[in-house]
Amino acid sequence: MKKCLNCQKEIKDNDKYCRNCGCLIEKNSHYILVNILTILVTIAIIILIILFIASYMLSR
Amino acid sequence: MKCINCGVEVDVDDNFCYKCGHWTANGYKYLQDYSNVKKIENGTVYKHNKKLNNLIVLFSLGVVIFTGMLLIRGSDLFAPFFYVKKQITNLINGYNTSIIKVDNIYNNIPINSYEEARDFINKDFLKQSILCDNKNKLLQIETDIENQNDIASVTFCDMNYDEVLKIQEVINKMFNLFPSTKGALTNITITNAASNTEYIAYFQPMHQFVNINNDIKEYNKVNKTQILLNSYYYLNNDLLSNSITNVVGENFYVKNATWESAIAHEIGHYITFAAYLKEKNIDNITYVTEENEEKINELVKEFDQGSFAKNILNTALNNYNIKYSKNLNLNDFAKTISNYAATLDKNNNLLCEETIAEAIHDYYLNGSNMQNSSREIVYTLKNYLR
Repeated sequence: MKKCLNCQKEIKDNDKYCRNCGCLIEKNSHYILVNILTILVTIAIIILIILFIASYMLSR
Repeated sequence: MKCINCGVEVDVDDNFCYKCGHWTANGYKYLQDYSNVKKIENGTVYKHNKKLNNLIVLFSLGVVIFTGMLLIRGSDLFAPFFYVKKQITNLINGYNTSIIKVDNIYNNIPINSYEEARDFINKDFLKQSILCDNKNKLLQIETDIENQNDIASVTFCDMNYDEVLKIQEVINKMFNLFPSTKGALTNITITNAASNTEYIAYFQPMHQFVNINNDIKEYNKVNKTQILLNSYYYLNNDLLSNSITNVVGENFYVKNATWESAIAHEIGHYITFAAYLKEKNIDNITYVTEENEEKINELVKEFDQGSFAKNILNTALNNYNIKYSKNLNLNDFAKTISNYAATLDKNNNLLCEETIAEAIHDYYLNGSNMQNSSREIVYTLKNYLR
């Protein structure tokens, strides 16, 4: 029997929302994807900043 | 019991509808207790929803930052990528290489004048030059050389600044010595030779560049007349810091030859070509139309056969033998200049164009102290250039 990720109460197979806390039931892959994307976007922003600074240094 | 929102059957002790998520009567009572609300808000899913919001904000911020940086830096923003790529290529090869390609070919380009032809040559190299490390510093020198000597494009991408200054002196001096030769040379460019040791520098009278696969009736064509510098030497200070004789051997070139004066030798080849064009009443072979295509191709073919260079040498030799009461043949005459001047082809015939280029090299380096043989060759050549 599956458990709600939010409140750990049991949920049935066809449930779309948790009967106890009302949270939308998502697949685990959704949460994993959000975590990975957050890390990737953070790294991308850091790279952008490094790129920006490096482009100035190269142009000297 | 039915859900008050969607009407689906729910259990009595359910707080929320399993189908639409709406609270039930039981859920209403459940939510009256604030500690239950706190429990829900502290759950993993709610925390994760905050993470999702943060991701959206972060992504939007990233887009704004990227757009701002692009507006500020333009294409220079990506220069570090190409710099790193260049360093990796250099590491793999074991020496510095050039990013400039001289063998780009373009088709279906409308070119309707000589000025457009030269402009296209300039733009081809300019486009590539944005990836050069020190383009801002070298740009002024390159532009000065282009303007002073009527050359469409000069590219010293990634070359050492001091080295470029020395080469600028060579080019300017050569065109001061032979001012009437300006206009036919389209570019002087640092590039990678097919192999490391293929050449130090190289004069190419004709490289077909634009619309070579098109019908001349539909598109005019563009040729380059170019001097190429081999990046293996000119981008690698390990070699440049030593004498050129370490590479070519002692007494190969004329006395006092340097890496920079080797370019004077190549300009010597160009000057021979310019004299040949003047003899044929043509200013340049850059802009090719239906009217002049056949003539240009024939001219270049004839030049490559070497008869013009041989005529110059024979005239110079004749004058030399008379003036100095000598009886030298062509090979011995050439040997008085340098070993390179006396180079033979595979049929043991003198490469007359090398003899002339070395004579001009001698003239550049040693001026009035040049060999008498060089002097006669230079006089003969200058007669063609009047």
